[in-house]
Amino acid sequence: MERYYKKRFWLLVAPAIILFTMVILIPFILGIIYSFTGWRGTYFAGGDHFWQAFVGFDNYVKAFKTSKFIVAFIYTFKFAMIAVVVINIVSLLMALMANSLNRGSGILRTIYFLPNLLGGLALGYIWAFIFEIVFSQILFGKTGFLSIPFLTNMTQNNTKSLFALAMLVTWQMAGYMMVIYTAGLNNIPTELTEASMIDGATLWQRFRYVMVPMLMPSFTIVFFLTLANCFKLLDQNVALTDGNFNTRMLALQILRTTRDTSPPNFGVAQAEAVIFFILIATITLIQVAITKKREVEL
Amino acid sequence: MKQRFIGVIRFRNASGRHSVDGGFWHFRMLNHINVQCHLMLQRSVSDIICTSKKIMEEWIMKKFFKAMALTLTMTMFAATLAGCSNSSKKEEASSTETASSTETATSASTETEDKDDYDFYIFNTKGENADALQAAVDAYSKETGQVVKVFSVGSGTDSADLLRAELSSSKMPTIFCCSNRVDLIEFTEGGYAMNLTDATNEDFNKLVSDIPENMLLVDSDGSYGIPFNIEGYGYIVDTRMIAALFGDDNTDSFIAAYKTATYTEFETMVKAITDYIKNDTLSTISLSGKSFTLLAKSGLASSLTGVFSVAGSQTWTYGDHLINIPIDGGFKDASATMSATVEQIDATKNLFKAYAQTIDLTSSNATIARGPELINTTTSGYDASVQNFAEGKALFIQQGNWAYTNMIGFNSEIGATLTFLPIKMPITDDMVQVSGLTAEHLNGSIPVFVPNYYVINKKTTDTQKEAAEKFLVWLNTSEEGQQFVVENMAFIPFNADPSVTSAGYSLGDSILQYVKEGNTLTNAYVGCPNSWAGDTVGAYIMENYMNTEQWPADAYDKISDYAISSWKEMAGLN
Repeated sequence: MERYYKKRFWLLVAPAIILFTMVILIPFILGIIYSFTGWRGTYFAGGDHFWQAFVGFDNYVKAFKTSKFIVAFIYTFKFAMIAVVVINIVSLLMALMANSLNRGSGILRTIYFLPNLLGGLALGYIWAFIFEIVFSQILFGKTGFLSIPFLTNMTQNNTKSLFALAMLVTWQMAGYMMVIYTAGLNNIPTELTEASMIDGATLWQRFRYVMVPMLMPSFTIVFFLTLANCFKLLDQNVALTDGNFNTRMLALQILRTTRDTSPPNFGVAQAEAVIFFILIATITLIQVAITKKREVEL
Repeated sequence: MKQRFIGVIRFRNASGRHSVDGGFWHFRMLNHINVQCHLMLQRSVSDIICTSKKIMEEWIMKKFFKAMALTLTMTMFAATLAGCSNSSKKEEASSTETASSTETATSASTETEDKDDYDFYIFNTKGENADALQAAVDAYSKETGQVVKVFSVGSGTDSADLLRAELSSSKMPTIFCCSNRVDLIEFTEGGYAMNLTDATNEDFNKLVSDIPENMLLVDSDGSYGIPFNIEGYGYIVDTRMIAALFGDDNTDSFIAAYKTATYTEFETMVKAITDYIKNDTLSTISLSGKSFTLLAKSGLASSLTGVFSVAGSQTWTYGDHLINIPIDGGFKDASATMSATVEQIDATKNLFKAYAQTIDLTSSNATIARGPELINTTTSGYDASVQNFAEGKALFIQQGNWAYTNMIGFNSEIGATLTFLPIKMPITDDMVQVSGLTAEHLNGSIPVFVPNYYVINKKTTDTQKEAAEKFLVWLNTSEEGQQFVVENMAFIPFNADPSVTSAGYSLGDSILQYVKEGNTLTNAYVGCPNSWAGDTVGAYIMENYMNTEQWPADAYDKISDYAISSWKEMAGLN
């Protein structure tokens, strides 16, 4: 089998490489080049070809000067902080809960995982309905069951929208992360837990000294995925708030830059996208490096 | 699983010293998988049977599942392929493979004709009239034998990026659509918009010279577009509701008196009607000196819950359309707005305060009270507000003739009795900056404008341009073409003679009436910086004022100052 694959290595890998190059690599490189030009989408301001329209770092300077971009930057950052913490805690709890059951754990896991199957836009519209009608009028409004002002009209306030988006994203992603944590939990050798119990460790000590170090590989993966996903969030943002009340996140800001300027300045939008890429790559690389150090080899 | 025991078999190794006994069974699985197995295990016979059966079942199930998986994958793949090939929205007009089409094709310079399989290509950004345009194109093809390709975006889709992708490809659209002067900049800078003076067709040049001056798509270098149609907006009202409120015989005089009324009379009227709705007070309203008394609630009037149906979440209604009226007071048309100076913008302060006051009045007398509910997309979106009006819950709705089909969709009886009434604002003559324009005219007219233009692509071949010009002439001047425009697309043609034309439906006729009387305003706001009107000022009002019941005393000032400062900032003037 191995030899079969080894002989035909390039042939088998070729489709994926071709697709990747055409769809991701080439547009990526072109995008970086265009971010240094005065690209307007259908033409270059300054000449017919991009090498005649170089503007150097002008687009990047403009991007940083746009107040909307900085606001979106900070907002995305705040959102990612909240969402990553919440998703991790919730998915770990879900995994522990599902694991501790003798029967019905399969069904419970399926139910937790189902929200992940919904697409971003559908999710956003469903939750817009929930936040606007169910929360604000039926449950937590002035005429509802319990009056909790924080949970009413969450999509109409800048800070409350952070938590609204966090709730939405947790609901969607926690199931997926729970699956990863479950796999991680199942990989903890039972001897370790038994040995710790014999040594008299309490539940909390067991969790902290046995489970957490053994779960570090899973932590790595989950942090990586949630951090990247939260920074890149777009569909749910559009469907839930559409950027109203200054709730634009980075991806939405990049998308709307071409609408905000006339003629549409694709060069600045591309510069913002490159900044976006560098930001996410840096954060996730740092995070992977840090958590890899803490992994315990079995 | 049925099995047939065949017998015991004994195996010996090569030297003959070791032997092993095994059972020999014949299994049949699924009626077509025959398996014969040889079992060689040094255990008791029953163990052999159990283990072997398990192993065989597992192996067969694995094979079965693999086959199933493969089949399902192939089905999915096939389905995707079928879906992809059918879901493309491109439609080719039926090309008559007759001598006539090849004749027309080869009659002019030919190289590109051989490469393209159409004579010219229309990119239509108005999704709502996709079918109608296709029908018009089909009729044109049949008549002239030209092959036309039409691509229409889905209704409500943002077509800008799609258009840009098409313009960057080798098969560019010959005719595409451009909304206003601000969008035109992109196309003139990129060299895509053809100056209409470069047109070669005689009839086309005549068509161009017939376009009224205020309907041109121009910049400093020339004129570029043929108008689609004209549209208008204002307060739509159901005349039957007026009859229910003031009496059948007073309806016409009410409408006439309203058109010439002042803002103060309008304000009193609105408050009186709100009082009537809430407390059944039958007061007398005076408009332009005539008095109208409210009748006791009956019939249609009893379903009223508010005077205005306000779509609080749709910033384009009060951010774009309503803000156009004060801007019309400050600037003659879109070119003037595009070249506005700091002094001119500062001089509009009182106009914007009047605008803020109007929003205050309409939103506090709406069917939904001002508050968080008013700006929810679910409760006060576009459809919800139109439905509220169509079901008789509100007297006025600020919308345009494009909402007609939505309204009759909700309530088919309302179609025949709709009409436009002018929007009133507390503007006085000294606030108005445009020479020759009076506040009375502003309060007695509705904005009528061209929402979209056909633009010919300069970068296509001359034959294509000529063919495109002929088509536009046919669409806008020939009887057949106009029939498609008026009936199928439900447009009001821009070159219609108001004294003889009928648009075919109530709101269209109402607009033509205003055009005939000369009581129209321009859409000067399209010259303002992109996304200033709806997305900036509209969003500011929505986030800070539409959701609070009580406005602070300086609300009008704040709104006006914000509008002015953000305009200057977005235009790069300070």
